[in-house]
Amino acid sequence: MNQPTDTRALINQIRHGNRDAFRTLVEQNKRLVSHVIYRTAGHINDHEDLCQDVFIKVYQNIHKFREDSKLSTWIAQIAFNTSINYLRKKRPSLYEDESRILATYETNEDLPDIQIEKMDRNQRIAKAIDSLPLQMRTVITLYHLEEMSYKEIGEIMNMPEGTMKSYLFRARKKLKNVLSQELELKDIQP
Amino acid sequence: MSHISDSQFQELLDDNLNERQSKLFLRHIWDCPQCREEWQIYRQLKKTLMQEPVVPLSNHFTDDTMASLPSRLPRFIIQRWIIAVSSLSILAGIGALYYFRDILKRIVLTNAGFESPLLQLTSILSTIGNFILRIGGDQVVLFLIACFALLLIGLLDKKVFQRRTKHSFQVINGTL
Ligand SMILES: [Zn+2]
Repeated sequence: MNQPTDTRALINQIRHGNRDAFRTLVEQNKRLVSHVIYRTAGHINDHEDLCQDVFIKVYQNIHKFREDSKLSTWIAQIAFNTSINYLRKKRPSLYEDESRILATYETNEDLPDIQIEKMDRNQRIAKAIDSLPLQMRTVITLYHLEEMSYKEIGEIMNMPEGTMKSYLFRARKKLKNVLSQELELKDIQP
Repeated sequence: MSHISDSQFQELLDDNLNERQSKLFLRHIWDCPQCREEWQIYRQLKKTLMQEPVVPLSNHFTDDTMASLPSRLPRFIIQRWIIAVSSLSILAGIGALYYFRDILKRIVLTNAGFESPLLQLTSILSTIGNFILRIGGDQVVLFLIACFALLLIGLLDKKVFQRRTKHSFQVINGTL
């Protein structure tokens, strides 16, 4: 992949020890890192520490970055892996829950019941996204918030493009049902 | 035309269809109240998904991150590691030559013909070993050990160790 000239220049400057260049990289990518961490690890107190860890790894491994992939994809990949390692080490129960949710989802596609009556639309969708398996909520976030392609998301999560697309479609179908439910509730209420 | 399926709605939503297909589906959506309602929900969903969720990052996040960066880039540290490892190998090699000098001498003497490459190599190594030992003997070895100890103390300071273990980079294979 051909990096945009300014990205290539930025990487070169960082590799030559320019810390201001790295500050620019942090500014440009902190939203992405935060989204990935938030969607994978969920609401955790260590959120900011984990995001910082990601950037430290980026800094320490910048010489390993191969320019055949996109910088943002590489950073998101580090964020995703950092989050997974965090879940495995710090919250093994949560991590096991994730595997279980996906396993259950593979068989019956039903999500845990969501108490939706007293929430507004955005809250309902947010809650519904939270209850999706980790892979699906990550795909949804990267696709819609970061506007990444299936290929890029596949690279980040180390999964085939087709699987990414299938996760995205199934997740959105589920979320669409949550919205339909909301509309039905509105119809019933006076 | 039958009703539009979920995956067809989603392909339309992502602009993955060609112009002819899109027109066909949009015409059906226009004519069919049931599909129109579904389509509106999908579009509403897309709009919602594209909105920012509340992501808690403080205003001083960038400053904190910059402050927590290691003082030097790790490439330099890795290069120094290579130097350290190379010195260790050289030292170990010379040590081995010194330790096995009698055996090496015997091998060379009993295989004066140097038939195999391995024996040729052994011969060269023992010649180098003997040369070094002839110059300085034990003092050469002691001098090299002292140099290496200084090199290690200089390179492997606490900070480098802590940083490398705390933030060791683990790439998982996505086998979740
Ligand atoms: Zn229809």
